[in-house]
Amino acid sequence: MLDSKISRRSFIKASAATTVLASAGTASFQDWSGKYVKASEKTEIKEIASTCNGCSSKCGIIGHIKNGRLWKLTGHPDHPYSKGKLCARGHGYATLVYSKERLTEPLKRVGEGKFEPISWDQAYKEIADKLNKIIKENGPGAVSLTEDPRATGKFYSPRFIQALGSPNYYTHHVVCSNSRDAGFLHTLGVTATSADIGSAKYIMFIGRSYGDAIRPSSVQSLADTKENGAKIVIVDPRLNNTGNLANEWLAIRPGTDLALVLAMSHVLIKQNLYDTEFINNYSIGFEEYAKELENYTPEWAEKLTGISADTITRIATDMGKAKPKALIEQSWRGAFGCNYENSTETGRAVALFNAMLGNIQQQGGSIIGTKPHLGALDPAKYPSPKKPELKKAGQEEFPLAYEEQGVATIVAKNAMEGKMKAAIFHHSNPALGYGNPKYMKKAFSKMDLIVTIDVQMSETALLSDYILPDVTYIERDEAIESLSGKTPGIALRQQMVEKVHPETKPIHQIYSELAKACGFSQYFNFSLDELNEAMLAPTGITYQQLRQKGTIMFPDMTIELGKMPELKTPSKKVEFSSEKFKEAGFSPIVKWGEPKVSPKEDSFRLITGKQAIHSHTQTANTPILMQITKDYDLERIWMNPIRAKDLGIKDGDLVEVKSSEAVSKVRVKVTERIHPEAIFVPSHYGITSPYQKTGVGVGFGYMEHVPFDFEARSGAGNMQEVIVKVRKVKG
Amino acid sequence: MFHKVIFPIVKIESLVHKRGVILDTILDQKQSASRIFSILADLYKFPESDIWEDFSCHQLLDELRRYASEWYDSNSLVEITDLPTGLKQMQQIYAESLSGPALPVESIYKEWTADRTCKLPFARSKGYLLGDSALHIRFILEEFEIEIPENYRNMPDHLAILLELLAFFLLYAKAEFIKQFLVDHFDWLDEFALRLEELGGNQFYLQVTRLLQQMLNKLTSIYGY
Repeated sequence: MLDSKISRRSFIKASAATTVLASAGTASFQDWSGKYVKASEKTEIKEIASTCNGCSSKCGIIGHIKNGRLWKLTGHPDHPYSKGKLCARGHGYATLVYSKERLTEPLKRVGEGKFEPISWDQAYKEIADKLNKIIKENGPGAVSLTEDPRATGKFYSPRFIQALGSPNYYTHHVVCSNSRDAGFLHTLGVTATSADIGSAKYIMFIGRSYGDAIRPSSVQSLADTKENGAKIVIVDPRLNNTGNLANEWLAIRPGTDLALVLAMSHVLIKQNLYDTEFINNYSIGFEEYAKELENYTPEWAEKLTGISADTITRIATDMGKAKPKALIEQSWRGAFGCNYENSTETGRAVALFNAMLGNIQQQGGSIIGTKPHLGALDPAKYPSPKKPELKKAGQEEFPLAYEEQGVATIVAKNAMEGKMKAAIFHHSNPALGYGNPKYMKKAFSKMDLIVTIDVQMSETALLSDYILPDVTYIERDEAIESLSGKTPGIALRQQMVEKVHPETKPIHQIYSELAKACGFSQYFNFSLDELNEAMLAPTGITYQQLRQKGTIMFPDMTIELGKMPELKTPSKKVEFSSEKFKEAGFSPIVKWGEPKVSPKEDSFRLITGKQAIHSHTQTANTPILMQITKDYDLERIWMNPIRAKDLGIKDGDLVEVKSSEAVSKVRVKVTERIHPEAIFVPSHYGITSPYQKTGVGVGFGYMEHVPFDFEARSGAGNMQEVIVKVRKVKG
Repeated sequence: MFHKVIFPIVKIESLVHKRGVILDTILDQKQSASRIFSILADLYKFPESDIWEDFSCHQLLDELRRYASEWYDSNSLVEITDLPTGLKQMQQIYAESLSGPALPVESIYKEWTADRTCKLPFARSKGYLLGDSALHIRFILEEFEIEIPENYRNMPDHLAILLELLAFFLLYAKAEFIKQFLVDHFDWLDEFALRLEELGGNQFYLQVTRLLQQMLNKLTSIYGY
């Protein structure tokens, strides 16, 4: 007989099954599997339209669900970015939902890198208590919230931080496109245009690579347009993966794109190939700019860029002749999103070159998109928090930065100065990706509270006081996403499968519950469905219809090309001369400026960029995608053969890469696809979180070598103002 | 919270004393075997204060050894020597091994699905939750109307659940059923143990797993392989 002194705490609960069990035959795995697989051929497959999260494109996808599990993913045929296709990231990143390395419950820090699980109630209470205490003692300006926004975050995150009385909402753009955004904003009144690739005759990409930062429809569009005879030029120190669609590669000296664009602009004027009518009708300050451009001859640019004056002249002339169906693609990070001290000016020069081609709002040109008209919650029933009176931290230092995005790294700087006491991070990894990791770690240690909301134990999560586990994009509904473009639309992310980990929560729920703990639940007294219904109200589309389709475009709202809109600049026109720049203490017109640092004969500039199978460090722990990295040695740095020979380095050798900030070791790919002055390192590696077993130890993180810095105009991170020395080491 | 499993003790009125003694002996052996795996199941759950209470005064391990000795020469039993010294430490060891890098969930150690029509890139890979083995356990749970806690709903093939099921089946299921269950759902423990070994650090859970393997091997031999 049983004689146990131990208390019983059984998990399983059986009812009357015992008698059934006593007579049951086998239910072997083999038998069941055979029947299951055979039966599953006839099993109903549920299709749910949603959006990917493999990168920030959020292409439309269709999830095919069988027996409650994800069974297949396909591209949504109607979504403008996927058009029926999915890239490698789209397929590979979906593995996250069943990953064994996800965050599964709220965690509280109990030591360096050590955490204990806690309940949601405890997490909310303690976070709320700490936030309220910090605000009471230091004011609301001492708290911040940073994210790489998706549709729900875009609505809920600013609302939450505003409810705390703080204006300090930031996005990741400080290491993405802050410079491009500021450059475009103060010339064209928008942070970006979109290139009408399908109709263009001459396309220049400066640092931007559709073949690496994939949207399936962009690549297809580029391929089609090339087949129709368009000329495609890549300007990049590396021959990136758009190379096989390009006619010409200009291996520009890194950091000198501004010189190229200024010289090309000079040529347009010299050859009278700019659109005088457009300039006369829709711009201000052109004469002043034209005068400055006299200094920037192709011969002058040749010395700086390494691209021959003849080539510069030829290309500029050809683009001038092809106008308005010629353009410089606007990029995201590319070569001037956040890269050099002169990147904002490069952004301005690119926007202005497009304006000189008269391609704004023209077929084959640069399109200022339109958004769908969406509704909002009834403020009487669902009050919004008051807009804080305080200025956002960083706004005074960087008045030219796009205010909605802010300069996220100011959080770290202010933390070092004792002014920022609390930071919430959602769907982003600033500790590794926004600024020098050593600096970021030190800054974080000075804050009293760090909360991270994520799906995996990132480097940022590891430094946090509280970690709140998000559900994956496969497991959640989201707020409606507005798709802006030539033809606007809306897309909806929808839950495809049941939550795998019951203690994970989507952020609309986290924010609502945390708001309650903080004492301002009145600002979150609506459900996600109520929000979406309110947004849909003016469109005439029902929620049911949108849930069924997933992506709905509004062809009736397609922009009329050939008609120039009133711009959102102070003059309502293209500004070749900007008063805003003048007020901020900078030249109102674009002038040449050197990068901050330059390599010498024995050193290199470290540049970075994307690979088609990864997104930042987000996918570094995805086994399927990392296997491709390992199979093709994709973590290796690129070095030109001339420099490699000088240094006695052969392809595959282990080398040491040393900068003022760090020393790394990695193997080398010796290739003619990189400028001799540059070392290229892909931006996806260097994971240090030991919880990410797949990612850790592969390659190195380029950010370790980037000094913590702010570009003077936009506050961007100056990602490529890095000089390194390389030498062969044993291994 | 779930109710404790109720084991209906069927008192057998033996017509022949000898037969009665044999049947009583078999029943005792089943109960002690079941008890072994119940205790082992507890050890694979996140340690709470009640487990620690039983553990810290050695009752839990003592009882385990006592029952295990009925099946195995006690001198050959795997020793569990790397004992946690406090609840917090036990929880920390758990968090650093069984909660993360060495998750004791069968799906992770097997091909995700045999469904050849599944087009996901990881369909034939190991390392993912909610594989076919999890669906098979769900099938068994549904067939026999057995419930498990909500937070195991998508990890029904967690070792704690598998061991509780085994403990339960030992008392109520036919030999054929038990034999098949052993074959189907415990063939991944070598890889799991290897994962624990590679982690290094405190050896407690590795030692528990080695003991578990010892007990399962014995059980397998009894059920005729």
